[in-house]
Amino acid sequence: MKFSYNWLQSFFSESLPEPEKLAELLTMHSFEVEEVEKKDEDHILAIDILPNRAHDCLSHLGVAKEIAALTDSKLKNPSPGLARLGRESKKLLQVDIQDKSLCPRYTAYVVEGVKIADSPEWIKERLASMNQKPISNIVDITNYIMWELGQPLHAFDFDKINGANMNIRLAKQGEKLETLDGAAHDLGADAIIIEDESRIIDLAGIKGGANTQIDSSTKTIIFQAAIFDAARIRKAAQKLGIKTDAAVRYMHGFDQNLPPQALERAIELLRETNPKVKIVQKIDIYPSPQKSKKIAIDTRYVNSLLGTDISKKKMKQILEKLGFGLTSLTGGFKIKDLGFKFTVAVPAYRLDIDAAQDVIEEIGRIYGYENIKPIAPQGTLAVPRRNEQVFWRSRARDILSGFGFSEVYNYSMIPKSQEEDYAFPLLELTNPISDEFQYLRPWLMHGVLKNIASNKKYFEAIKLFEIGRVFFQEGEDIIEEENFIFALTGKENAANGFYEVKGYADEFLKKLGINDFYFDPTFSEEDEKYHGLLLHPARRAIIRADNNFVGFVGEVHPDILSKFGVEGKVYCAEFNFDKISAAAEEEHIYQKPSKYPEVVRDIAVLVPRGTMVVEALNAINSVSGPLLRDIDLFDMFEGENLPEGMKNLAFHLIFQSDKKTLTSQEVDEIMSKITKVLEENLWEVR
Amino acid sequence: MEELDKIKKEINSASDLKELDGIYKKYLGKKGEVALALRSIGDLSEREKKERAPQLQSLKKEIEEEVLKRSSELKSSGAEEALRGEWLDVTAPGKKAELGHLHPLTQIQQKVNEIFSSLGFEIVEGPELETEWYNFDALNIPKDHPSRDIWDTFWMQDKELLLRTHTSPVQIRHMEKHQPPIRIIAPGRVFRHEASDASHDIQFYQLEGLMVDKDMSVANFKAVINEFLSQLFGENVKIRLRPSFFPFVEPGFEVDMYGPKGWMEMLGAGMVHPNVFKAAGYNPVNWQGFAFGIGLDRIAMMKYKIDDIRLLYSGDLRFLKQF
Repeated sequence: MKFSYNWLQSFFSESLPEPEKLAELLTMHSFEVEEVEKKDEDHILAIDILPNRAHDCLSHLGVAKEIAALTDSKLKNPSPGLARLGRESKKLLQVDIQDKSLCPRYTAYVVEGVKIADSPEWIKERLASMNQKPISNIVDITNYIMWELGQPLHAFDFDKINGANMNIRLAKQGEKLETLDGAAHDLGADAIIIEDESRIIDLAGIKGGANTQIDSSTKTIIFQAAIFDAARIRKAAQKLGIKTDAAVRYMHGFDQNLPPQALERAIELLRETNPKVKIVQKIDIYPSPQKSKKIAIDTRYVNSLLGTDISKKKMKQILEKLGFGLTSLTGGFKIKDLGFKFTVAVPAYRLDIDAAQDVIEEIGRIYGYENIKPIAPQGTLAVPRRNEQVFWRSRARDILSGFGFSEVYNYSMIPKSQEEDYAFPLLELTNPISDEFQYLRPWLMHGVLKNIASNKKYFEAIKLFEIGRVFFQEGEDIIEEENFIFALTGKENAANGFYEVKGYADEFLKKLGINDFYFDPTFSEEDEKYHGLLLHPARRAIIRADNNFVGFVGEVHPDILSKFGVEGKVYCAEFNFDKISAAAEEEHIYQKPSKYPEVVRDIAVLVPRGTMVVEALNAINSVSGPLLRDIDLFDMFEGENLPEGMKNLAFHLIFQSDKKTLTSQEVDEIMSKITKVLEENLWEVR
Repeated sequence: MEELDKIKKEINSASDLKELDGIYKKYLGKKGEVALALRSIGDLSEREKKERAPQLQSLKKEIEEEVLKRSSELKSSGAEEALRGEWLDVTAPGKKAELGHLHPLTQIQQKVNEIFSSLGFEIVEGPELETEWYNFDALNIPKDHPSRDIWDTFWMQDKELLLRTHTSPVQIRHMEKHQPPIRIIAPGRVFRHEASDASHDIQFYQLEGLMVDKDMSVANFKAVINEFLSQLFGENVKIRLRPSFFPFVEPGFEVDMYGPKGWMEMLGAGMVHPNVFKAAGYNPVNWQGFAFGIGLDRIAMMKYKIDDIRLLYSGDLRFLKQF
């Protein structure tokens, strides 16, 4: 809220510090002053009043009280003595409240002898500093009081009220009101309204009705100062989309002693232009007066929480400057009576003080946080447990960046248009910021494809990885998991691209200490449902460890790529990282190399194109025994010189023993077993 | 010995191995002067023999040594010559290594994790999809209360779930399962339903910290945060605490750090509110603690002078490859 320096100064007889200095004081002890702007003869301070002080500091008096506590200056009271009533008080207006919870206090003055006129210059100036347009003396006073004291006031033209009768209740669905600004509103069931005998005249706490507004002919007015239910005002303002300055104050609530003070001040101001007005009726409906609060404080706890050694004398000083009354447990006022424990009486205008820690904040902030010397905490020396997930994630990132991949971070939401790419239900946001961010991502793949599409303009070969949370629904359960993906593009030869990404997947898992995995080309029904649509049907595999799904690898389905506008092919591998980090192993066990030489024999076999390498490997392994250390596929080709529909697989077979040098004969024996089993499969050995 | 000096001069004037070889042969070859002289020593008298033989032997030795010396000189400079022919332009660009890159947020996160680990903090994580209770109610932010308005929330169709607006729920979850003393940081992705611009986005990374013990105080907080910021920004930082408000702490503060543009807001903090302890299952009478929260995106933007937060989620390699 913006505050006028001159207006604040008007509460004090002594000079306040210069505006900049005052701003600094407030920032360090009360609220941040965001800007100090010179405006003609005045300075405007833009103060960021904290949400928990909106009930008392959205007014010049409220902030003046803070300043009094900070500068040791005494506040002049802007509220005058009691206003004089007219010759006799009449009963002109009847006010009924349906449900006292809607309106905890209703106070009003009926005032006769009003002459509408311009406000005096000084009031116009003050209003101008709040960017408020002056209208007439009556209306200006209602606004002025709000800015000065924090009590929103409303003025009705008494003669426009039908039946001299006001009823305060909740609106019913469908009721309408045209407000002062000419706008028509459909009131909802949360709006508090005031009606007269025949129609609604006020959207209470938010905006007045046009039908009872002050105009040049107004002679008798009602000044209304009330407290309305904060929660309902908040709801109604939100629903109707009107958040007036009055509504903001009602939403936070404020000191219930304020309404009559505000009315007294209003009359004082009115007498400047209308010295002969008469208050003919005072109404005050206040069935349950606000209770005063007392809080028990232990000075040891204050110093323990703040980490200070503030004397009780100093604490008393601070609290009294802030309007808190102190008593010892036995009721005396002397410092020595206070002991460690005392009670504070919370000032009525502080709705935010409920318990000891609230009082401690008051002491701490006025004492000044800059005066608290840092003290290193004492504690047991305990080495924190390593977070395994964080550790493996870091390792995984290092592995991928070592492979030359760049890390991306994408949004957790995906567009509405991508829903059809998934064969299972996605989690939808109720209030997405736009269509582009409608669903929660179930896989990381879409983000990465989007990145590839946009980077293609600048880079030919792209290698990306991402790690992040994904979300989906499985039956009744909502699942959140961490996934890891890497993708590459720029390899137009499909075989090269696929085997490259597969190679990375292989090395990635091994480097994390996972050795017990395999690539399964068979997709179950569930696999199809969850991963099928994303990948090229003939170039994909599920990675399984312990027979469980751990990830998938493959070429991205061309249909998906064309949706993203990506030309060429993209290969990717995406993993469930929770499962990976659970399976990862750090320990390495040293394997002593054999001191006996290896014997390498090559074997080539001609197989039908559809035969998978794994079948040949399984066949060889089934007869070769432990002396066959390694099988290395070094060539795989089809083409000229080979029969139609056939391909050639060539392997290096590496034999070695730990115990002796193998003889040619021993190796020959194994080779002939291998040849036999391969031929049994109807494959030609070359 | 002018003979020897003359021969030495001759040897050292040889400009290549071939020439040197010729000089060697001249003196010590089959028909070399010294060699011949040595062979014809038998023709001399006994007395002459006794004088001449050692002279000649010593001459032979000197010549051989000198030739060896000259030979190795020529060899190394000859090798040098050959090498100089293998010239490369060393100012031409080197072969581009295929580098991978860690995202700048990852790098900041790792640095922050290191600092707090060295201070004895455990790293704790929690779900991004949270319940209303953990995200608000447990943190003393009741429904229908104006304090809820501080956070603009993304809600799921299943109304009880939302995308967490801060990582504070992780602290509650941790306290529920552990007894104090507590020393944790909870980093993670958080979400705000607000319009994106250069300094705000719908998602960002937050880091929250929590320390709970018998008598944790504001003074302790100051010491810890001073240490953290100094290690993060690599110098002794100047900080100040000023009053602020968050429903889950009381007293609450903002911590500003002094920089080239004056005081900059760095993080929000405060002493854990008793209601939060109660929600987590601790008796507030026995425990005191402080909590703080800082935005990692902001730190990354400050450290790396990135001017638009949205670059961090753009996947643009021209940006990412700079880190």
